[in-house]
Amino acid sequence: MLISLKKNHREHLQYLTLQPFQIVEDFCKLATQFLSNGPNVKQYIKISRKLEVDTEVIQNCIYGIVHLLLISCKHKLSEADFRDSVLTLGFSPEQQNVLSNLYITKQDEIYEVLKVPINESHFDDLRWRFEAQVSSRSLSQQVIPLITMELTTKTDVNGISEKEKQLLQTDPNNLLHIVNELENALLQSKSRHSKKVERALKT
Amino acid sequence: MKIFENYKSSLSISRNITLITDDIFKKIIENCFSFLTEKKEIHSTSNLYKSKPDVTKEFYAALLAVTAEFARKNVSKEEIIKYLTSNCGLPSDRADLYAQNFEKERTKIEISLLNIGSSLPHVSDIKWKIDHIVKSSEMDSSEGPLFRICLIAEQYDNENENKALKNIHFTCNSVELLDLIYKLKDALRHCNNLTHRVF
Repeated sequence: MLISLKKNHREHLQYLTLQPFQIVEDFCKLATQFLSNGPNVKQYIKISRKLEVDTEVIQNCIYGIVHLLLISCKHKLSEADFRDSVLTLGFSPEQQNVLSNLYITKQDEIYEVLKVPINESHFDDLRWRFEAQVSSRSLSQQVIPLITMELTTKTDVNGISEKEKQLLQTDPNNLLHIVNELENALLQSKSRHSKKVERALKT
Repeated sequence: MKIFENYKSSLSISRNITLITDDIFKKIIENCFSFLTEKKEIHSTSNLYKSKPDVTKEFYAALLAVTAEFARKNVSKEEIIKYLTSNCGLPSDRADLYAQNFEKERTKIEISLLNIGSSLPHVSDIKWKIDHIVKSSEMDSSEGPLFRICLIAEQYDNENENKALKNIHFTCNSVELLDLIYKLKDALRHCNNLTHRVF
């Protein structure tokens, strides 16, 4: 699969195609810094003076590379597809080599960022203890078996996992019911129907 | 049974069979058990309070208090009859009628008393569904199965003075779900072992 870029995106990358591959390498380093630390405008001004072009050109080149990586990761391009896509943009084989190396090294990192667009709380841990309530103010003699549980769920917020704890209790009968239902859910996920839908969605 | 001494004089009001007739006595008992178990009275109270409403009310209040106390302290039927006849001077047929009704409703009253008090949300049911992510705004990749779990817990709502349901939502992938099942089964296994050891 080849990706097609929008016209202005192609224009932004145009400047890079005219540069020797060492310069492309430097731009790739700047793109890496952009991915981890965000834009560094001062450095872009310095480079623009050195190369005698507008700062905007430098900025667009870096944004162009980053956007190219994002689109390629979004469509899960293979190495060969990425190479062909870059070559059709007018890059030389040496320049393409540099960009391909950047794509390979940064691929996993970008996947991680793109992977979870909607953060929901996930199960993290469950601790339990068995108790027997033997007396209370309103009823002096009783034996009530109880299972007290601490349910921990985690939510990813800006890459940091935030944990939330909740105290719950249940009785053995309801515990058995919950276990049965969860096992049923697991079984259903492996059923022929689920597998059929899964296969249909993947193709 | 020192605590029951306080109600002695109020309960002995029912010795007066012209004020509290057999029919009124029966209806008051029915109201008492119904109120303690289902929280509503069967008979209209205005019809029960005839010439001396304050005295009848005093008897009814004492009967409610003493009934809850009998259940709370797990007092036997014989002890109840003895207390009502010897200490309060009630006719034996009235004491028997009360004790019979009490035995019938004992478990229900105990359950009502058991539910009084603060406790953690009590998980009583579970809902689940299985999702597959087909595509997202960021990625063209599928992911799944994802189990959306909703635990339904009951808790006493102090504001509305009623039982309230609380839903606890979270998501599991297959590995996380296996972990959850393993931990819950561990708790269940412990319960089973304990039951075998005790009985």
